[in-house]
Amino acid sequence: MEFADLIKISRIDNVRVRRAGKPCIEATVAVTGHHLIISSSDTKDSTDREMWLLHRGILSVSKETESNRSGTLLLKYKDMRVFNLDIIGQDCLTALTTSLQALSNVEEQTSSYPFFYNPGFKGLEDGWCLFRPEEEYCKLIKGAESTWRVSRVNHEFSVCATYGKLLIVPTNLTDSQILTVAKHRIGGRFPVPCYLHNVKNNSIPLVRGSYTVAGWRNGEDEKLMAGIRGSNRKGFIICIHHDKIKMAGGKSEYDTVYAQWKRVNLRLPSLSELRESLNNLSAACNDPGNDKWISKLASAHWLAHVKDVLNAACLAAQLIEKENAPVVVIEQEAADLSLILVSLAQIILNPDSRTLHGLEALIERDWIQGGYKFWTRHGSSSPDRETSPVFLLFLDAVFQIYTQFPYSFEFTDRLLVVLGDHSFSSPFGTFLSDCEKERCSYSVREQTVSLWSYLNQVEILSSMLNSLYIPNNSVIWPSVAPMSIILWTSYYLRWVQDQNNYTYERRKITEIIERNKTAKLQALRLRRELQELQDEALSLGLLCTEDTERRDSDNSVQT
Amino acid sequence: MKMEHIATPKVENVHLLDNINPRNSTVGTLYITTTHLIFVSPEDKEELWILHMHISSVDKLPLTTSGSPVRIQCSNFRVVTFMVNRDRDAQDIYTSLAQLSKPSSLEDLYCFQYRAKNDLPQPTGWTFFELSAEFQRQGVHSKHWTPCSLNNEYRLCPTYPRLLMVPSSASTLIVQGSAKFRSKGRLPVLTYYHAQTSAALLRCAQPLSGIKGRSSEDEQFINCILESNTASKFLYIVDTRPKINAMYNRAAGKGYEAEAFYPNTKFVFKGIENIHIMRDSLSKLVETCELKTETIQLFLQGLEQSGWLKHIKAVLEASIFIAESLLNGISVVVHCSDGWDRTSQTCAIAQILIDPFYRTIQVVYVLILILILTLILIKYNLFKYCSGDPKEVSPIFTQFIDATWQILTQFPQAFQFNAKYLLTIHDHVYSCQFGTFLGNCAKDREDYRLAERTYSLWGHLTNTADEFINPLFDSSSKPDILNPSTSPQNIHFWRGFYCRFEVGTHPREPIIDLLTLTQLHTASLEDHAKHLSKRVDGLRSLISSAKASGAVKKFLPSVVTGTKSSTEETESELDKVEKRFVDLKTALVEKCQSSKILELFNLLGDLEDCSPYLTLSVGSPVVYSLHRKRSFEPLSSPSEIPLTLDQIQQEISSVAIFWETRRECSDCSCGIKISYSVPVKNCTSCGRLFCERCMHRRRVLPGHALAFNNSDGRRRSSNISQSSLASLITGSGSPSPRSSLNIPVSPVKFIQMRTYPVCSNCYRDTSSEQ
Repeated sequence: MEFADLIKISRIDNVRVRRAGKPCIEATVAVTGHHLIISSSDTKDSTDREMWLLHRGILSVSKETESNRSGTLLLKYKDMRVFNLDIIGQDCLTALTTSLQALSNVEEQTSSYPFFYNPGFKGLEDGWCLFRPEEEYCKLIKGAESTWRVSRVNHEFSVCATYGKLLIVPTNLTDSQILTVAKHRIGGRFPVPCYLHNVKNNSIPLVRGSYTVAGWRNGEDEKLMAGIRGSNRKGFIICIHHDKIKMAGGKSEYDTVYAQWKRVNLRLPSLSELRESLNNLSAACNDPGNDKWISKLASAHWLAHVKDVLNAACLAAQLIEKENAPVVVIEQEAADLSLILVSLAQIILNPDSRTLHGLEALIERDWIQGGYKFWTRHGSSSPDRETSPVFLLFLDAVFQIYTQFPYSFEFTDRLLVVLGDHSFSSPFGTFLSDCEKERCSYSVREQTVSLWSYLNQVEILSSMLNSLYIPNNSVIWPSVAPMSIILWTSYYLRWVQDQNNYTYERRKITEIIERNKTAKLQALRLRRELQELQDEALSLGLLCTEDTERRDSDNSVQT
Repeated sequence: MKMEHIATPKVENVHLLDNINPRNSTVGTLYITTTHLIFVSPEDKEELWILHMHISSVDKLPLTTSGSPVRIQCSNFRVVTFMVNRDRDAQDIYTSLAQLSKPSSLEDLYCFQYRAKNDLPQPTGWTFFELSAEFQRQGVHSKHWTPCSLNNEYRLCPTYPRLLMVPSSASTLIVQGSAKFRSKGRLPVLTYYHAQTSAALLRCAQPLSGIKGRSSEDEQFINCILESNTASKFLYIVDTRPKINAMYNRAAGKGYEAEAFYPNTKFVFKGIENIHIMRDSLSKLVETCELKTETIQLFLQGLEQSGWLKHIKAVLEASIFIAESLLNGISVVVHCSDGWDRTSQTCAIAQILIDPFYRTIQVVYVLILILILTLILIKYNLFKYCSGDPKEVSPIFTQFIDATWQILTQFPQAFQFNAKYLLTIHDHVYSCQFGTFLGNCAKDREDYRLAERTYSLWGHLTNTADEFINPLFDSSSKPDILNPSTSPQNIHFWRGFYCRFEVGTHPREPIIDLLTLTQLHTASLEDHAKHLSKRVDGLRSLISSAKASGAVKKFLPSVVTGTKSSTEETESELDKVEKRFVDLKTALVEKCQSSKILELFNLLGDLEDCSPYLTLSVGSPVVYSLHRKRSFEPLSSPSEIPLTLDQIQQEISSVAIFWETRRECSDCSCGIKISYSVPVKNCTSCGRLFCERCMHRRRVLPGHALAFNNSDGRRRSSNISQSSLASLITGSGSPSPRSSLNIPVSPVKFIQMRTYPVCSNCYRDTSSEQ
């Protein structure tokens, strides 16, 4: 496809750019195949001088005509930015609007920016090779090889189209039995373990899977559940619902068939609720002067959703850590909120997932291999039922835990912001496609650059490291009280609020910690030096201990 | 005496209910002392201390099957519920507390009984602030402004201090006329003078324009104010009330100035609500915080409905308006109804915004500001402390603290103190442990002879200054004026204040606490390193000179004899110093009492001359600590070598390089469990972690006697910790950007000596060695 056909106008001069919380600027707007470039010379802020905005990041384009001569283009981006472009000339305005609408709606993944991006850096390691499922899964089941094995049954994506090639399954099931189980589950997404938690030499699995296809019993499925339960007396099934009706009629086969399992029903926000919620939050955030800010924040419900998922994750973690019971999280398709739940539970339980590499591995395992529809949920611009900021909700919940335990994370919330942004629009291929199968068919790994290659460069990495980090090997329990859940200002309000304080604070913290380290080293060095000198002086007889001194003075008294 | 109020001093088997989940509880024993309510739970290793004065209300809730609940609400937003098994005990507790928390007479107040645990002398802090010195510091132009003696006997206005600054051009007649025209006689007087623009900030009460219509004296007086600032053609009169309130007042005979009668003035309403609305708003906020099974929705709605953040925003906006006008060289006259609530708030915050001096902790002068506030502000304290009219109680001060915090969060680099400082001050406004906030005006304070009979909070705070230093403070960034954003998105709910005691809701790993401790640690290590390198140099030169002379063996006896003679010398010297010190101390106390601050500083200059053996605590000019014995050590110049191996060893081991962290430590030595909500401190000597209550000792690092460089004349600085001190306390070492500092800020800085917190064990060890 030719982008040139979609670009109706490539450049407009004298555009007035209005944004909430920032002064107006005069700018020139240029449109390319993948970017909208807003450049301006009359601004003091260096970041405003040239803004490259990926079309993929556009949430909505709409125009308001003020008069025959001029009009306003309202441009909303998925990263919460809102631009008002005052454009003189009806033709220009219409041309720009249609161009941007068309460009942001290009649905072919292969024509998206990652396939054209040429990195200006040479990464030390290729991000695509950083997390090989083989190694990751072996690491995961280490020590529990008697109960779990890595299966290649999905090598051709025939068992489950949206799972990765490799899967962890209980050892009591053969590959052909797995095939039967998959048919019994919606989308073939049968329960797979995400994490094994070690409590008292016993590894307790955290599992996610989709609902069973209703109707009949399936012996293999029961066997799988038994395999997950292992030697544990009981297990818990956390059942995620999105609506009240199902909750009320929640008569499920589980209660009778899986008697060893206790079912917990949780109502969590649906995809459309989340989408609505973020839109409302975005509207409130981009209206800085509004006196009704707090009630708008309340009615956006976003914080309530954050609290809900945190609460649910805490419940899952608690069942594992305190009750030592296996937990299976089930959801209609097990591709959205169940991912949040299991990932958050890992952040709470697993100290490794609080490191930089650990978080990347977690995202790679549970979200990318796990088949989160990044392209459908985040990449697409069409405001249909399928888009939803699920991954962002996860990042926000991680942020909440991070603010409550700022010494327990190797990274700062800066990393979370970057991840959030790249999930919506990115020059990198990591968050491209909906599942592994798609990724393979588009040769994403071969043709695009991995986000991890970019992030793991030393200078980028160092800007995200938390200088306060002290490895914490224990489980961390976040508070979910209403006043403990705060708005993630460095994400949602970063465009309307001055972020200088934030950067200043991080810099100062690093300074203080570094200075302390230097002081410790210096004191140690001087002590060693003094010790050596003292030994030398002692051997020369220049120093005496108190005993010899006393003896000497006694002698002098006697004489 | 209070003893008679205590019906039951001790009740066992009391359950302290968890506020979030009342089914969780802690079992322990409840003690009622004359000053505190103490709950001790040996099982959970927890202790809870509540000062009676902090209790704002006690309620006996309806009986339940598990016992009789008693609910206590405190003015620092703590809420606790005790479940008492026997109803009679509960009744006893209820009546005792009800009486103890509302003393019937002033003499029963805690501050008249309170004696400092450490060796802090009583007069410390009472003299830190003097109005005249403060005006001098501000650089008030003596040509335009003059002290007025009319209020020397509190005749002109009993609620104003003795010293009033008025325009020089205003005659006595005009001043008196203006006072008559103003409510409660509170005429416009100078609060702050902005030296760069010579704009002045004045405060007064509303005019009695409703009855008298107009007063030519008052109009002339305003004109005198205008003329005192030649740079501007007009001045602002700011009425902080909503217009409707002002009009209502007008009907009652008071009101506001008519622009027509006051030429060249611009009149502005700022719409801050009155104390009754503020009180309701705060109580709604507190209710919201106390909701148990609430959702975020309910919490946010409650927050919105309380309107508290909106009021904070209004106060900030009015303050910013004042500060900006001053910066633009326009004088401002501020009033509300009586000029003591909203006026004090906005004036004080405007000054914080405009003058970096008020954002420092340096020698506690920052709080002058608050003192100014109290000097001229009626805080209804007496009504509050003793059982009085609840209608007059108002959260004005709480609001002031909150508004200051809002600025602090927006400009962390501009403030030398941290949020804990604000919290501590707020606590003590209600604690009544110190006389500082007692009484409603200067006259009250003199009448009760508070300066002689009670301790000052400022003295107490300076003594523990390092807890209150904001680690994010950057002395190099000193913007002329802070311009906080008042967008509702930037006005935050202060969880650390209103939910302070709901420990579960706070971050488990507070950043600021860690940074504060780290900075203290760094300072102690840097001091230590300096001392070590001195020792290294000394030893090295000793070795090399010994090697050069080749008389290694012969050298030994001479060193020993040298030691002895120098010790003798030192001892005689010590006696001399001791005597001098005692003399000076007496003189100091006298001066302190007579509150002649300038003389005091001269005296401190003298003190400096003899101070090789004098330890002064950080930040306080007058804490001539009795700990000085701990620092008795011969002056060690590089030529004077540490004499024994043990001494070197002791010096080496006197400072901990590695500090225990919260994660490594479960219990304090006193048996209290160190949960994340317990404030902690590290001992600089052994590095172990203790709860704050176990760490009230301080000492100078061994081998760090205060030494002065005698060569550079009058102003000598301690060669030990000056730089680290400067970086920690003042940053650049310059206390204020003003060049016109002619009052005693600079001398004080030079006699500071860094002391560090140590645990009782290490303290005992070092003191026994001396």
